[in-house]
Amino acid sequence: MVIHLYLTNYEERALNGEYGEALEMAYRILLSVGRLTDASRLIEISSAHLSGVSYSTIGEHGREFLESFSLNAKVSIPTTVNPAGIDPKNPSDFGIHDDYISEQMKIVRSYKKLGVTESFTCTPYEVAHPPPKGNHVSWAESSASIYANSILDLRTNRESALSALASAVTGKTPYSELHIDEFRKPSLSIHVDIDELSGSMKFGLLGYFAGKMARGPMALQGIKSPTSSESKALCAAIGTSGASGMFLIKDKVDAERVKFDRGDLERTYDELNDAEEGDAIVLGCPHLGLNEIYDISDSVEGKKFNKRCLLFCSRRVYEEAKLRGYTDKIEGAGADFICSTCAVFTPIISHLEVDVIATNSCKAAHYLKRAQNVRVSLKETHEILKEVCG
Amino acid sequence: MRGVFRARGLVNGLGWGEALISPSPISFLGGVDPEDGRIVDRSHELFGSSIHKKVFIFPHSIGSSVGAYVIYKLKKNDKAPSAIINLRSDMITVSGCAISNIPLVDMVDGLSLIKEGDDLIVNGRDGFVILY
Repeated sequence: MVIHLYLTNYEERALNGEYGEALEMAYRILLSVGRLTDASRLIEISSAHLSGVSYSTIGEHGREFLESFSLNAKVSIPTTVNPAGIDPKNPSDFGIHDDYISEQMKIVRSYKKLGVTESFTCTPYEVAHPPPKGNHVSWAESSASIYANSILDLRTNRESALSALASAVTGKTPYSELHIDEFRKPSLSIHVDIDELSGSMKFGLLGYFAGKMARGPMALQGIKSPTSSESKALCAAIGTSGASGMFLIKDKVDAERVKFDRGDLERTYDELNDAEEGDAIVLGCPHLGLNEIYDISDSVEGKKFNKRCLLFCSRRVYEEAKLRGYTDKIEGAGADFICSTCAVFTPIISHLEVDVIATNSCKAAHYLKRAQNVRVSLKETHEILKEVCG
Repeated sequence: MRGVFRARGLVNGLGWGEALISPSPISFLGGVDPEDGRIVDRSHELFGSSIHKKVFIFPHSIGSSVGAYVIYKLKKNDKAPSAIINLRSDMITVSGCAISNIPLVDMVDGLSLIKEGDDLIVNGRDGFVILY
């Protein structure tokens, strides 16, 4: 059965180009995505988060589209953006090729022209107050949209760079899937049969396993309430291995049950880990929050890193951590912060010229192996720090 | 044979041309050259074929979401298909066609009756395909 998507008179006129090319294109995207997802209408949203910022992900064709689209378009609601491939404030750091810098800065200029908040982070909820619970939003970046649905109690589908952009400009999204109560009910329940699962890497392993099992919303049973760091790792890993857009932590659920025991944990670990020890350390996928930077500063204070260590976070969080004195301790130990940059989709990783990266992130492990051709040593943050900063 | 087939309209517009049928899914990023509209994936059945001005029929897109921008670039270079028909469409194809003004439908009733080289008209707004 084909569901008819109803448009208001205003939306019809915008679609016919009466309010300019940008709105025409934005409504064409929403209408098409809405038809694909069986939406009956468009609804208003209170914020948007855009992916498609790093030149390493969207390339020259994406850059060209954004330059053209941003000529006459403006966002109409609060809109944050994903990390870039290099720090737009310090593009020349790390000796990245001029052509890459030039292409990346064109993308950054296009987003500035659109009027976005220059957040350059995959954790928008840590740099700006998220909208109140229950609000409809349009967030791309799978880790952020799963976090929005599961932790912040917002409602969003896992948007693409283009659908979120169309939503940012129009302030609307198709009313479909995870925006609707009945589609937010878990269809699968993962029963965790491990005593006191803790640590962001282990929560990441659970997420990587769960993401492969569930197509839609899922319930997680038998775990404690995760810390913010564990939640971020869990959401990022679910987004990496599958298409599910949300989870609930709930013990009584009427859904098909799948077990996650120590054997599953170890098998998932073996799938992602392929080296004993890293030549360099990468932390901050998703971007580090203030509490995570505090924890690192606490354990490295007065010590020295014996390997290259890169820490990725948003500029906003970095500034805040600097004010509180956390970053001085970490930089004093010899680690480098890189702001506004994706830990995986950046040429900085290949400039390190190393074979093995140590990280605590299952998402980073998955993508580093595929996009950067390195091997990965996966460990909890405290284990990594103990090894390289004793 | 002639006929009108009902479909789900996804991206508005009217496009016509000869049917080019791909039995397997396609990755636009790396699979299609946006400069000349040819399929450059050596492992694909249609390797070497041009999708330019065709009604391009394939199950759905696979691979990177950047494929949407490759569709846009094909259009900019005037090498795009005149319309696309999917078995069951996906975010990459839908958003790529939407930003490039390429009519798109999926879920066509009787798609198997359409043969390679058939002359087709695709109506993306109202959701039908005409074989004439």
